[in-house]
Amino acid sequence: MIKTAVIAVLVFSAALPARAERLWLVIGASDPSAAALARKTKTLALDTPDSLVVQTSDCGDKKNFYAWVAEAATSPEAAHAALRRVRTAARDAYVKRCDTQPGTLLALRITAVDASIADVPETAVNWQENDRISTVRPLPDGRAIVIARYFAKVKDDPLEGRRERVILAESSDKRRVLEENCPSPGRVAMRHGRVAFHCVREEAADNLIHNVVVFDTTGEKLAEIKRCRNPKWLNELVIECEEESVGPDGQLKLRTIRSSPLPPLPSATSSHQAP
Amino acid sequence: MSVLQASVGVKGKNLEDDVQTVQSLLKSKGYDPGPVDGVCGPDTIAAIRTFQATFLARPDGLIEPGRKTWVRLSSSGGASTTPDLTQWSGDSAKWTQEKKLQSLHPELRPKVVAVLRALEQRGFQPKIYYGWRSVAVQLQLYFQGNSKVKFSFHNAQKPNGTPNSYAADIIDSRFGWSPGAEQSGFWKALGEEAKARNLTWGGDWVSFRDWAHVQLVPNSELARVKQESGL
Repeated sequence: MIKTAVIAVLVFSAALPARAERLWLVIGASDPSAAALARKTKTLALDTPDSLVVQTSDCGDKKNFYAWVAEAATSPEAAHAALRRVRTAARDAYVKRCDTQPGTLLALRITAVDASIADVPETAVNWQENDRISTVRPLPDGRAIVIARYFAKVKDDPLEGRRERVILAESSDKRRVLEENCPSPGRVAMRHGRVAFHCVREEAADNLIHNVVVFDTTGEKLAEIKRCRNPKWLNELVIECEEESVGPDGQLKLRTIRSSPLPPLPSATSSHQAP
Repeated sequence: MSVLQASVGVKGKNLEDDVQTVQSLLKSKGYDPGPVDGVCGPDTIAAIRTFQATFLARPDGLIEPGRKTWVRLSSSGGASTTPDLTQWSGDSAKWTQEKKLQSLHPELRPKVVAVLRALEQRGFQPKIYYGWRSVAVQLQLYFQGNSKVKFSFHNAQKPNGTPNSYAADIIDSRFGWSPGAEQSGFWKALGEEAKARNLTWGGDWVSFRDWAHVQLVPNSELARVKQESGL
């Protein structure tokens, strides 16, 4: 009985408060294209550092568009006060009522389109619309993994500055960056709050080569397993993944390997049940 | 069609006109026989050997009329006004070394040949895995999740559709991309030889390594190369 209660408290405390919430969004600009909105709002965003881009599907709208939100107010009064301020810079600003969907970027107050996206050169060859839009993956324990896509202005970059930051989000104000750049992050494997996933790190013939990264429940990095994909937890201390090797024929060969034992779980969480 | 009257190369007759013909053809295929002067010196012989290494197990440095090396050298060396695109079809990773070299941009070709030669001299067994790769193949790789780009320097082509790759992937034929390539020092040597010839090396790309990749121009020129390709 006591054990059940402890588990319930732990799970509840870790759960993401990404519940349905009524907001009034003060929208200064909108566009169906993330790229176009980023360019449109580049100067607006400079004067409003707390602004964020919202995809209206996060409000449950069937037809999605991207909205530059100067303020996400919790009351209509606060929203209309903000609207007067915003209209000095964006004359067509308006207020939209939004019933925030749980587990969305908006629930976490994370922008759907990073401000850096505005700086992607128009001549960029390999940028697609999806490369400009951040996404969220809810985890079974109530937390979430956010893939924040952004542009890094790096000279002669092979990916033209395309980057994917992986963030572990527990709430709208409790986040931790797990990987500053993890191209094409794979499915998240989770055990006792520990998470593991793969990132693309290399290219070999017609194959992408990955590293598996492993994090503690707090987001502390525990291990990075080179040239491996599709991690799975065998138990809370050992991970299994598919080791990648490409020979002279260009063919990818996969071999299942097990990681070295990871540090044991802290005793406080050792009674935490696997999700 | 070029004509060869007598043998050229090691212990060959080395008639001046024949040597000039061979030197011109070698140059047109991206090899460096030195100046086209009709003198069969060490550079010319080295170029013949390198060319032969793309299809012979034991290059002998000799070209004789009607024999295999001459047939290969003279077959597609001349300029053609109407490109035969069918010859550039199929899996370009499985093309012969000679054909892969031919698929490279004319300024990249001699540099790649020089890199291959230098690596051989360092005891490696280098070969080109990819020269040109079609846009269709690139898109297939992209949509299958096997590439991060829809257009790469490998896809560069002339406006008439014939290959003009700005990049080549070079591996050691014993290792490919397996750990042996790093342990033997092959990647490091490839990087050194490529950069010594002002090529960009993918092993230097911290955000996304491409160890086998060498490239004629910096990444910032991708848009220009795509436009030049008529794409």
